[in-house]
Amino acid sequence: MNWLVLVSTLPGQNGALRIRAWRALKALGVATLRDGVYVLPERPELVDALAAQQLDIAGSGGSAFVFSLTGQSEGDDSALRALFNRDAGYGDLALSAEAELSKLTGRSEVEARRGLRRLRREAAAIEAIDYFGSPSRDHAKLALAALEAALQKTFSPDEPTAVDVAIPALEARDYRKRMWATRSRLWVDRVACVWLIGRFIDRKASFVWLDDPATCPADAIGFDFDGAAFSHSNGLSTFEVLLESFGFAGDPALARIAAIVHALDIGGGTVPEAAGFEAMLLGLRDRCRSDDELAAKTSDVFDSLHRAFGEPVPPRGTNP
Amino acid sequence: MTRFVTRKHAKLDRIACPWLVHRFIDINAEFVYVAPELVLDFAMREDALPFDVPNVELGHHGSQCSFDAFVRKYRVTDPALLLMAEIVRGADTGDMSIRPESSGLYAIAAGFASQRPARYANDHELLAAQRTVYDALYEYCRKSTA
Repeated sequence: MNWLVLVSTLPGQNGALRIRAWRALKALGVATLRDGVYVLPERPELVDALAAQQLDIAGSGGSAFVFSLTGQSEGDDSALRALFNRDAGYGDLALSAEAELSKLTGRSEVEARRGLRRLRREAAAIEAIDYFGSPSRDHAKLALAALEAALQKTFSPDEPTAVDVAIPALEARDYRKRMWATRSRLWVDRVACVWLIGRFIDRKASFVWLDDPATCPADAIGFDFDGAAFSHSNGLSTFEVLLESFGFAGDPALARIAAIVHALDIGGGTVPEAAGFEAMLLGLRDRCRSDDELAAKTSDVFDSLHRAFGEPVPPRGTNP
Repeated sequence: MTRFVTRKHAKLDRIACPWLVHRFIDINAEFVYVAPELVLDFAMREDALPFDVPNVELGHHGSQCSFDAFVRKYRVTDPALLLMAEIVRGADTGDMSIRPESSGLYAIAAGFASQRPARYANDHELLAAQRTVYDALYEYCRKSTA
């Protein structure tokens, strides 16, 4: 197989370049053969990344060469591959996830979710540089999934389980002035649904919050619980199912809101705005005395996100 | 009574700073939004403190935004507000590497601002509408630093 080799000499007095280069190379997950000689497997994105480093070093008074090399023997390849084993990182990650899990009962939801987010970020960082699929990867992912499941169970006990069914196409005009019902203690998916229903599907909607989904009134349209008319299916959040059902799937601004909801409710992927939105929602929920109040206050935030995502991004950096 | 003056058409820093002042420094402080070229004139004539304009104490300094300048001037030490300053700084200066929450705050603030004048007639209404948002963010920061 082919390897990329960066051979660099940095000017001694340029400490800033040294630190910058070291950080950038570390983020790429290079293996260090000896001082100034770094190796990566040859892949298109890594070719570009190393070229950028080469440019930076050369432009700052150092010298840098990038070679594409092949090992003379199988032994060279396997010795190099061993340098990219990430089992130690995955092992630490699994241990951290297990430690979080054992402390879950004493934690507030904010702390628990922050811990999970931090571990997810660490996992993503390791996976991004796990070029050969280290053996412990699955173990670490299972430990993270177990933590996430336990967190959901502790803080959102009635979270629906996803089912795989065809999502029907519906007309909003058949759903006017209806009563809509979901589980009380609203969280990401449900507040987003409440906003979507009230804004785009049924402007005269009324809502009931159920302490127990089994008590859903017969004439109410249930959402986001097992057995409800609209709930998780095909790996989608209830918000996304509503978008599909009522023909909003093509609205790019709603799709970006859906990406935030999906990232926070189901996980996977990184959506830049998700952490800030979740922070806002956690703060709002602590300050609101009822689900009605939370739904009203988050509605302004969703309106703003919808506006922000529906418009070309205004230029930034025009401040003094 | 303290008066502050800044440029009109506020979006983020010029909403976050008045929120900070009203909530923690001077509940009676008055904020005036005027055309950019009138800020310094107004400040001199009306004995108001100019902020979020170039070359003033309460403006941007280096990589720091005006919210940071208020924090410094009024010797804010509440760890929750110091965390909030980092989130606001990232959102205002576009350096999203400081705190992960900045991108979301930026999107929300930009969306609020783009509803002026259709929904919020002026900067004062925009500020009033967004107090909830900054209160919530502060609550989150308080929990995060507890």
